[in-house]
Amino acid sequence: MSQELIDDVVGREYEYGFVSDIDQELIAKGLSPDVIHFISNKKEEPEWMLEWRLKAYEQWLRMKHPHWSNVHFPPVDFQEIIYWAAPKKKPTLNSLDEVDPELLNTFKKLGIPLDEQKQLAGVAVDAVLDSVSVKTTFQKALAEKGVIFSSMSDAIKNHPDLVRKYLGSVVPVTDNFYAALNSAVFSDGSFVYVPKGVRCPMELSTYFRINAKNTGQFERTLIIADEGSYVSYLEGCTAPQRDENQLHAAVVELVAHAHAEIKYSTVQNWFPGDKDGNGGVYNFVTKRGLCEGAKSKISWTQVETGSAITWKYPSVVLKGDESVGEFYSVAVTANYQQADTGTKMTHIGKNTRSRIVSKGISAGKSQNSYRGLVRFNSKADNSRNYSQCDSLLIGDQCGAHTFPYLETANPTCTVEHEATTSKIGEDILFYCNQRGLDTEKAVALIVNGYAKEVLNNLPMEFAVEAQKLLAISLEGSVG
Amino acid sequence: MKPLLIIDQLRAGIEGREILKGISLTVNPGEVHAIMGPNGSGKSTLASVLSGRSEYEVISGSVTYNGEDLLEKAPEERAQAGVFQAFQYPVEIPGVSTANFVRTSLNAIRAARGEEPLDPSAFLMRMKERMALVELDPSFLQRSLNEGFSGGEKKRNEIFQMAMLEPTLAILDETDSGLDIDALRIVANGVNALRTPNNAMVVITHYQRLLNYIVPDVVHVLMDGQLVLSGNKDLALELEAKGYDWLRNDGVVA
Amino acid sequence: MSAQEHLVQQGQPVQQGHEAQQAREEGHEHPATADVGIATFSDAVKATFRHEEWKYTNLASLITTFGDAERATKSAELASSDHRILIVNGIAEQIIPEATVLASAPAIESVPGTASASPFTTYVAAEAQCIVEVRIPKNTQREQPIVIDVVTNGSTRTMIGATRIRIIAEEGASVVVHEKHHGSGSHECMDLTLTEIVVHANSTVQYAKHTQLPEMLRHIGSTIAHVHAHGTLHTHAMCLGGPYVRNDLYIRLEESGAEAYLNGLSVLRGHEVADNHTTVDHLVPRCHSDELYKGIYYDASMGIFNGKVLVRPDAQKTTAYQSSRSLLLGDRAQINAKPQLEIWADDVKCSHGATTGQLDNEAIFYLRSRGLTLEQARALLVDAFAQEMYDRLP
Repeated sequence: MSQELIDDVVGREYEYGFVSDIDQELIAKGLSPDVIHFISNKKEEPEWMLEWRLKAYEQWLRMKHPHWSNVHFPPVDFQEIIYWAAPKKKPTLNSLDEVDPELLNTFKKLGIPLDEQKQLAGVAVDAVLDSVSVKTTFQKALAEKGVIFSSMSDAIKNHPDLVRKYLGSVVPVTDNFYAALNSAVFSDGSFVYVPKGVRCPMELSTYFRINAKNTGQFERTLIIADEGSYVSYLEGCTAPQRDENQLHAAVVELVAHAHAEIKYSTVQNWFPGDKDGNGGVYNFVTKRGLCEGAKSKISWTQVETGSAITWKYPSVVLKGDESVGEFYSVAVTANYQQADTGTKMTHIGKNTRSRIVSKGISAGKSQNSYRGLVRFNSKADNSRNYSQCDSLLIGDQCGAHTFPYLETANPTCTVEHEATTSKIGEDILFYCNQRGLDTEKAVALIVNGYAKEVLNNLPMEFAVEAQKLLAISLEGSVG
Repeated sequence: MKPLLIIDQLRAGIEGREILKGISLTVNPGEVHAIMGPNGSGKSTLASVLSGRSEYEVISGSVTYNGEDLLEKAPEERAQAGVFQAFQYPVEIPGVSTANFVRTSLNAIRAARGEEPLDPSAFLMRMKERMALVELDPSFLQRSLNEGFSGGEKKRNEIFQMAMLEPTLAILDETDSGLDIDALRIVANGVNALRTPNNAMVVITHYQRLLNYIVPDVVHVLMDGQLVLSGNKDLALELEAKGYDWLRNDGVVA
Repeated sequence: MSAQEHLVQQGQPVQQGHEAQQAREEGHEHPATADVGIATFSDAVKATFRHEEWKYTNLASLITTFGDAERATKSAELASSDHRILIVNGIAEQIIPEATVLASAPAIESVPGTASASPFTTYVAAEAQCIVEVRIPKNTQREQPIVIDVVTNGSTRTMIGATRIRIIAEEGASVVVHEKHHGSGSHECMDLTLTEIVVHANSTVQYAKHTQLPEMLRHIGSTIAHVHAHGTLHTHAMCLGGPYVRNDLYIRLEESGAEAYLNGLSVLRGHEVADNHTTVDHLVPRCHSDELYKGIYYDASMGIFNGKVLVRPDAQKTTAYQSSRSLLLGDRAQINAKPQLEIWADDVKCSHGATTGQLDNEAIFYLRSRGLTLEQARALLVDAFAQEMYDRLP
């Protein structure tokens, strides 16, 4: 790649940067017990839920904001954030007519089908705008199989026993600063329960969007796969283009019982900030899955192209014997984005297996770090891990970093870790040029090939979307 | 007839070292030119300069293709204008299937010419037909480009791509190197099938044997960066019999 | 202000991890060691608490053990030898013609996250009982290896020895140095060293550090090397026993064409611990490094390998490779590996690999089918695994 091409870095356009003019209900910014009372009250929550939140809030007050190693940003002022924003007209489940038409347009623009007639076959969608779940589709078809797929708010009301049993069981309230904050103020999110032996008949999907100004989004997702069940879940995210930074601090908990499998895919495209590094979403997320039962399996797949700062480690605790954890990740950073992402695989049960495939692509002045922990506890006999962490560099202003921790306290375990860092070879680019592709197309093609092993793990419809997203994310990075 | 390619007094080199020391060559549509020469004579440099490899600098002279200045164009613009180079060492691109690569390439070239992308079924038909031309198994289409291909398979893949892209000017850089006799025959048959009155080929080779299969109209001898002798196909046989040294001994090269 | 204006630390190494983050969240934040005055051994130990670079070892008990340990002060009669330097309890007793005992030496520039910032480096730099400098003159190829015996003798009471060694190969010179650590006696002893190596242009240094320590002796040592244009440095960390060995190695490739080859072998038994931390710092374009550390862990021994490859923003055309391979052969043996790449330049080829495992059952079966017993087969494969590192020794 010639130096001029790289020097001629042009910022890319963010396709989802529009702001929707939706009639919204907001509360004053700032966080206090009153705000938590307000949120809980607004959502008509039972007393135990309010107490849980208040306890989390007290814990949070005692915690210090983490000082993260490889990302840099000015301190977040938690009193400047609005903790509740909701569209005023809350649609009921069976009627789209009542929904603010502007809101429907918003989701249409995003390519998210709310209208069941038009939507992709076999995908049930829960759309979350700012804080609340707007509509959950396909509930009836799912209900026939006994699958519960609803907003978290509804689940708290309709399935309190399940929520009480599992909420906070994988990510304890005190796990970290942002998990505690989320526990105190989470507004909505998705809840999934797949009963014993049921193979969920369709892909479940949640679409998150931050719309209101100065709001934080604190969604909470809980997925439980009971014995022998299977579910595939996809999460997508966008946010409007704004000059100031927005905070997104979600918590996702997965529980897989014996012989159950959960496949969780994320296509994250929050607004990354403009080409000069102004604005963008801070994406501080705690995601963890527990392979509770024997032969259970949890697989995380993520395509991360958005956010000004991403800090997340979708993890798996391999407690059940012969359980399997997987992490497939593509993280693209351009302009001034910073991503610090990776996974933790904690092997507790015997004969457990984990596999990590991470592909980082850095362009512009961005910083892309892989941080991972693979730990074998002393009882995890005959367990194995395989990790492959590759970094691709585009331009000489960016950085790529790899920080794997490999801890083995059991001599029957096997670890294989490999990592490489390189740039796209001049000879490969020239070859593509000679076949008529300009450098930008060539880079998109090469990057997609590079990320293929991860993209292959996405459900088909989303793999196509993800490919397009990768190409868009790198537009302008090569001249 | 209007010449397709006119190379006029081309001097070029790499890292400050002059390799091509004034080359002139005219190629008309329908012609096959062979350029032969010993190692280090500048054969690959000539191919690289024609396809636009940025490490090579042109010192002076000109290259006119279809009446336009070829040296001004970026590599992809040359490709879009119909210049194709079959590489001596084709690269591997992990994760990018051969089919996907060829489709992207073909459609990029078509787009540059204001043509619509080839519709999927027409594309598949064309691919099937052209693969048969070089006896490449369809399973290669799904495999990552050139990854794990043998030397012969890579060369056949280059000719397959040439068949797909239908270039006006094809430069074959040592396409015969590393091929056994069967592969050589397959590659040559593929190339011959692509000869038309409207396109031209420049075949760069060290050995005469390829020219038994691809019969050239003109044979040039490149030594020390200059074309020292041109003749018909019999010149190639003479070179095969006598080697290159006699040209030096004869005082043709100073 | 945008987040990006805070991106001021570009190029600074960072080494905090999950646990360090947690420590901070829990409010156990620790300032960088450079800000802490380190006047005593106990100060140095305290500076390791909750420190990311010391996360797998707890040195707290050393404060009680060595809090009032004796330091030898008597300047011994200086003997001379052709090839052997002898340092006992931190005092030089014998030197070679190319060596001098210095009264002081230049300060160590502290680069965070490397051996130069270790609290023990700070301590030894200030408190070394002797400084021995070996200087190989320009264009001299020293045929005979130099042996530096660092002996700690605890026959009368608990001792700390703190030694500073400087090895300088002037332009075009070449030398082989074996730094051997051993000891005797029935009292607990601590052997602290700081070794600096300067590899000037076109010179070659082969430096092997051997630690084979008795039960009562621990070692904590730092090695800091500067490699200049077209200079070549080979290092070998041979950890063949000792209750606790800590090696911090920091190699700076400071001019183009510099090369570093880092080798390590740990063979541990019982409750022995070997803690190897390496950083290769590519500061300029066109340097090369290649690292291979192997470990064989029997019984309840523990190996730690923390290897960092750092490629600074201008260091284009860097090639850097790193590999760590561990065999866990004991029921309670442990290995903690942290191979890291920090890359700030794009035109580079860098890779690391780490494996942890057991002997290949296929290979064992093959050998047994040829008549070897299980024990013989295992021993043969372990030897073969280790032999590669012995073969690399100068």
